[in-house]
Amino acid sequence: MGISAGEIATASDVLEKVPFYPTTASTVLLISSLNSENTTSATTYTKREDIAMAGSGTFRIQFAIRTSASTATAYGRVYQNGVAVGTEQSETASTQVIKSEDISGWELGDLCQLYTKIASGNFVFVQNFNIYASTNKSEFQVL
Amino acid sequence: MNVQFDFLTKEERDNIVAQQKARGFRLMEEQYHSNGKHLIFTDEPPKAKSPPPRNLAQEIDDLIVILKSKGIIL
Repeated sequence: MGISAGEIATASDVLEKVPFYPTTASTVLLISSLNSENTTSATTYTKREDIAMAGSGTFRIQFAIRTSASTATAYGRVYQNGVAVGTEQSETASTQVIKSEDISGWELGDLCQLYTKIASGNFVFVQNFNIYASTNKSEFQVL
Repeated sequence: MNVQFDFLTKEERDNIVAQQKARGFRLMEEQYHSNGKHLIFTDEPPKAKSPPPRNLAQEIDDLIVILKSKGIIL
């Protein structure tokens, strides 16, 4: 059904004319950090990155992780203000594997942090510590 | 080709990873999302990293500085 100038559009007109793009939850990238591969040999959980949250609620938090040797498991975990909140993620692959987790309970100004560890004599590599949400929220800052 | 598996427990996860590794698939992504836990595998080889692009203008400038410092050019 067409709409001419001066006519009032009905609901069905609008539905016809306006494309509907369903938003899949948590696919909008809010901030990306650690854009190049970053490594450490720390054997206890050590902070690798801080991101100040510019919103509250549930966010999808992703990072890529790999180990220097398949015999040494690389561990990564998301922390909130210095307290572990994410699942402990482990990886024995020497090529990067993306770990992605929906984590709730974030408040404005919280620090979203990536920690890693690996067995002595080995290296854990991380990259692309990213935060996603279902809607766009600005003013996130890598600290 | 990418394939996705859902899992509930660590044992299920480890079994799926072992099975897919035996088939020649590598784990590409592990998701702990609000709609479930998923593993995504691929049989494609990892992409080789390309070297960073050269900054030829900067390299020429650096070369000129070196040549000037050695008195080769004025």
